[in-house]
Amino acid sequence: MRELLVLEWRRLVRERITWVLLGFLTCACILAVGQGRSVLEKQIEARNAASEGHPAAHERVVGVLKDDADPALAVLAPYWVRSSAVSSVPPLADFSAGRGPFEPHSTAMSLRSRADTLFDRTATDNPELAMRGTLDLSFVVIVLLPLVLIGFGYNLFTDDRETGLARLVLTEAGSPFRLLAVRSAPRLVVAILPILASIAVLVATGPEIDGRPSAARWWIITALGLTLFWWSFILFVNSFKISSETAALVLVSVWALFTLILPAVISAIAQISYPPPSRLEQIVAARAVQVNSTKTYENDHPEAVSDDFEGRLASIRKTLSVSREVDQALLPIADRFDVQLAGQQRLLQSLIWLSPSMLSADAFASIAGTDPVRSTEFRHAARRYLKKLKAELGGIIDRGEIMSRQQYEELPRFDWQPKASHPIRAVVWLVLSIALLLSLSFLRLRRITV
Amino acid sequence: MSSFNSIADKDWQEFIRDKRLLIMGALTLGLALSSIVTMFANVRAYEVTRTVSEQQDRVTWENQGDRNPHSVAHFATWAFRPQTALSVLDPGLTPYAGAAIWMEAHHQNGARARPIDDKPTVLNLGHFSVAWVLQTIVPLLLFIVAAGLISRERERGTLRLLLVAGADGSVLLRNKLNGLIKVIAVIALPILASGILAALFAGAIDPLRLCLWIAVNGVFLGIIVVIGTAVSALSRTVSQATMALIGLWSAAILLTPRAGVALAEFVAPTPSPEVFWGDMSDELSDLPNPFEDDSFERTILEKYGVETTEDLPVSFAGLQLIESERIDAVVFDRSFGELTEIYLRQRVLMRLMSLLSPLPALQHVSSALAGTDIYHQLAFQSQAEVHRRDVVGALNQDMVDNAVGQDWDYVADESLWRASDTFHFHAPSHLDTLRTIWLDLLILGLWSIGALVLFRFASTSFVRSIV
Repeated sequence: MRELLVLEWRRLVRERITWVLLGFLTCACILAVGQGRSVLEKQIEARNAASEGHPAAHERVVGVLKDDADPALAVLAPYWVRSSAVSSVPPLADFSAGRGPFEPHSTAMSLRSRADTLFDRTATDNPELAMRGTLDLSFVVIVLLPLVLIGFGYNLFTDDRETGLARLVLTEAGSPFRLLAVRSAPRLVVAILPILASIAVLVATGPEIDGRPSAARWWIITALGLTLFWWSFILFVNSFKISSETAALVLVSVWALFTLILPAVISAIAQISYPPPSRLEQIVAARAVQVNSTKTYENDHPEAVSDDFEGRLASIRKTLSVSREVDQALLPIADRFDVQLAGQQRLLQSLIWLSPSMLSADAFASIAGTDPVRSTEFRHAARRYLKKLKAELGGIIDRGEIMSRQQYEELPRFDWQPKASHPIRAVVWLVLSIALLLSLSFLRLRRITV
Repeated sequence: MSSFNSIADKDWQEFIRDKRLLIMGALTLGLALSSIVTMFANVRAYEVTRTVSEQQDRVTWENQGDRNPHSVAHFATWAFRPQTALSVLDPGLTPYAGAAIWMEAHHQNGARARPIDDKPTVLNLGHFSVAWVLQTIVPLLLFIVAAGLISRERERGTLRLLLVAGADGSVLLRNKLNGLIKVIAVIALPILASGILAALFAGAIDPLRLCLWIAVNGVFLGIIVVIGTAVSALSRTVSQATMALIGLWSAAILLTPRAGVALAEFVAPTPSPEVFWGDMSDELSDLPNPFEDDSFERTILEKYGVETTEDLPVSFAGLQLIESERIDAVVFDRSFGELTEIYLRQRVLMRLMSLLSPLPALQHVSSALAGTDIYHQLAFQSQAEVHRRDVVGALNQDMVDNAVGQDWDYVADESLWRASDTFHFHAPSHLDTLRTIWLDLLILGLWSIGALVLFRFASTSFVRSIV
């Protein structure tokens, strides 16, 4: 067995295609590591910037809450309070960018903030780059690695059949299992090596984030599962009595189906089945409500509207009532959005099993903390927090009180923590598929020796 | 010559007899047709909603009743970006760019309501559209078909027979190419015909842009076909040609555009939203505030030669608002100008990647012609900002002129807001669009020449290798 392995290894090293494929994969991995790091650094920088809080607003509020403060100024304190909801850094954003580049990481809020516009002023990324996507390690593993594996394995056994050496090769190897093992091991090692090296670089040089080591382990397990799935599929195709050309064609077609076509089609089906209400309609509806609530004067200069306590209190009460009315009126539209988006997600999750590429992409993103579920949870948590904050500040305004320093210190803080995700279902699916494909290949190859 | 024309016919016969290729061709066609239906439905629904929303919002805007103009300036108006009929063919960056801008007082807002926010994506390798099918899937299919074009003849030994019989290598290759062009025609023409039909139903089409769009996509597919045939001629076996072409396809179509993104983000990183808005907010708060600083009041009193603001012949609150907008505009122009500069530098870097693959250049040209590229998006954003300043400026000026002695208590009637225009987006002219893509067109031209040189090289070297 060892001699056969050495022979196979030498044959592989001598072939030019090995070096071409290895070079291609290594280049992709280097770029993926580079971009992965920059994605994670940007996410950390963004959160740090958001976590700095609002020092100017804080100073302003603290300044008017002194014991000898002018009540006409102090009454405006709830209006000037600023707070932030910042999501924690995803543990493996450098491995799988997922929806990270599209989703908000933080939001600032005040008494005037509305649930429907909480995440509106967020995007600065270049849409032309977003259109082309991110080159991260999960892209390499899901999209490029299978092609490299196909390059290594499309003629693994079909060549022997074409040249009439199949029976001889099987006899030489002793058993189909040994033949598959001997042919597979060196190729898999060459293909996986750049991926494992990239993971090692990212883990060794990356920042310390809660849950990162455990997430990295799950990520590796899923990546190995997907690699072995593709390899067992290649072995399965090789077990048929077909030419190398047909094997290559079948493998590439199936890859294109799983990786390019099904994701696009399933995503389109989900959107058609659960079309979300139009954002433009939502904006217009909000404005119609808003204009009705602001028939009497409302603006963002309560300090300029009046100089006295009563006038300013009336102004910020008006602001609060407008905000409440709009929130209330938009609740049905927001609910419709939630229902439709949840429907899309449900449908997507039920169809995702059709494509191992999609299944793995979803698993990678959920391990990395860049999946849509986590983003949705963050948005909901931020909205709940806004409600709580507005209730606290609104209570003070409704009672016509001047906020005390203690009340200010005790205002609620955003403390949402996402749960770690372990893609057990995806791994089980991959393992079962691998077992099935390997068994079928083994049985088919055994027939040749009989 | 006719015997060589029959080579193209023979290849065509082989293609239609090969069930594998036929199924792949039919699947590609089906995929393209369903993408057309999906995109048509999306664009049509969006445009209907946009028109209705604009009308409803205009009614809301005009019927606000009597109000303080600054309250109205805060309520403000919205700019909704229209989608072109050609976006049915190539949505470009539309799914990733905001479609609505709130043109409120004191703020230059970014574009919001990106379709991607409401789109489920698990594995995002392109937006489901005709452009995606033509630029991603069809090249793969063409490479697969092209792989066996000559290498199969070589494997069977029929190539030697043809050449020994006196066939000219380059003529043979050209006829093989014709056979492949026939395959493209059968796949691409129905896609284009139904795409154009759908675009026509989606709205008014600019014929020049449409013709150019078809031409550049045709040139791209031509490059693919020529390269595919040349590689097949240079390969010993069909499987070798298949693997070489799939390798080229994955490097050119999948890897290079994303590598370009990595390069662009590395050389010219986009600031995160938190940093961008945070920096802008810090800068704005460091500026002199005409609502709090005495210096502005002193300057105004001096200018009008009066002692107190109550003695002014104009509204001091109105002047404060105008001054505040003037000061803030400098920061907005600089911050957004820098962001735009980054986008354009990133585009230059993406264009550099066109040296490795024609796809980035094609995407620039294709989306520009469809009106869905970054220049159209930036034009929308800058026109919205001009409109914002006009409307807010007019409302503030009304305060200055008519709120004397009343300032914040002043109330204007509906005729003031009814007098303001609705925002209309004017797409960049043909000349402006061509100015942004001439380099990309040049790159595509160079790729065409390069492909032809490769073809010529292949046609001479494959004959030598056989005879």
